[in-house]
Amino acid sequence: MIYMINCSYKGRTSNSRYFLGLLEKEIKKYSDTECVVKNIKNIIVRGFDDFVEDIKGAEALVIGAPLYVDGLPAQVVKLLEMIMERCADEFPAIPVYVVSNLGFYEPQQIRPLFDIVKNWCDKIGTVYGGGIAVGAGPMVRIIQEKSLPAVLYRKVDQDFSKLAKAVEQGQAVENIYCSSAVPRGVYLKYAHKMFNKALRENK
Amino acid sequence: MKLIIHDLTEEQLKSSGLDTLPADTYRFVNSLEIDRYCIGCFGCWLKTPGRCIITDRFQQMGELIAQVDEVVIIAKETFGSYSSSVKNVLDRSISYVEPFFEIRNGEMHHKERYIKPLMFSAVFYGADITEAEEETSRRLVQANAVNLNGTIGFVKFMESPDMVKEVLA
Ligand SMILES: Cc1cc2nc3c(=O)[nH]c(=O)nc-3n(C[C@H](O)[C@H](O)[C@H](O)COP(=O)(O)O)c2cc1C
Repeated sequence: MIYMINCSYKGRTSNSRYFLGLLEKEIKKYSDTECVVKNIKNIIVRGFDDFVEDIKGAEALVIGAPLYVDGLPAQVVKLLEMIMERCADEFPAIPVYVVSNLGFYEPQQIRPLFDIVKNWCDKIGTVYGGGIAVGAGPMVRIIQEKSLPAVLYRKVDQDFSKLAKAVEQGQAVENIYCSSAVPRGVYLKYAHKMFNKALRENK
Repeated sequence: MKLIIHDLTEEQLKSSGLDTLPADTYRFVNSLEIDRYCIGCFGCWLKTPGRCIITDRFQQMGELIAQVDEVVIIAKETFGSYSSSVKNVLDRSISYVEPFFEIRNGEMHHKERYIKPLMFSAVFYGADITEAEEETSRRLVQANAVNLNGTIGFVKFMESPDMVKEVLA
């Protein structure tokens, strides 16, 4: 079983959940390993003990988290703290992967987030398996969901496929930084149009 | 005016002497009092611009930061991040900037809401800080300073918060 955590407080509708779904779809192409997706809120608020039990039966952990203020969202730091404080000894030595997305265009801005998860893995004695960062994540989701020409997001699909193979085989990969083929200026204009529309509607 | 965002208990504030800093120069935000996480709704950008939609005492963090010249973070070193409570305050502070993007030094960042200089500094404390954690923390503080369109003041590491006051002097 592959244990995935959707770390966005937006829950089911979040981009993090969407990108975990992409990974899950790719994993299913290679194997019939079950993927379980849980919301972080349920784990840190009331289900921590269940999480600790369940993770012992997992082959890998996948943290699906957005970039918040250049790092991990606070609720994810909280989860890492809880594991460190309460059950570091019992935590299985399984590979930990990261699926992350961000609002800015350049996926490289995710770097501290990956490093924080790696540092945590080193401290609790488990293995950092690598991560994928999707630049302009909200837009990548829209162009995929609207089935715009595949050439715009072919590279994203290829990168998720690469990570899926690694997760399925329990191997580590170099961090993957992926973007769509939509130019930065186009994304910026599109995002501004959306922000202005929302501001007008909320007046 | 400096704004100190910290995760210290009353006792630690006393033993470090931070509680004696002059009130006309320092304002404090105790992150241990926060209990609601950002829900990612962008309400502070698009519904009530400048204010978080969660109506607690951290609702106006953006405005508070706009009133100071320097933000100093005092946080337990947590794998290269700030502790979860301090990070929570920062996550709840994004209304300090606009949602709109601009390109600075070849990278996308947010436009300023408040056109003013801001210095951003941090002190990380903890008993067993690794080199890798230190490097990540430095990178994180640097990224924060750039994204706030501010400048970096200092980034320090120490075993205990008791030594923090010397750094601030
Ligand atoms: C509190 C907060 C902080 C954010 N900080 C950043 C940031 O530092 N860099 C960035 O590129 N995007 C940032 N974003 C944008 C999110 O990463 C982006 O909207 C992402 O798609 C959200 O994913 P989700 O739907 O899974 O929550 C931030 C969003 C929020 C709500």
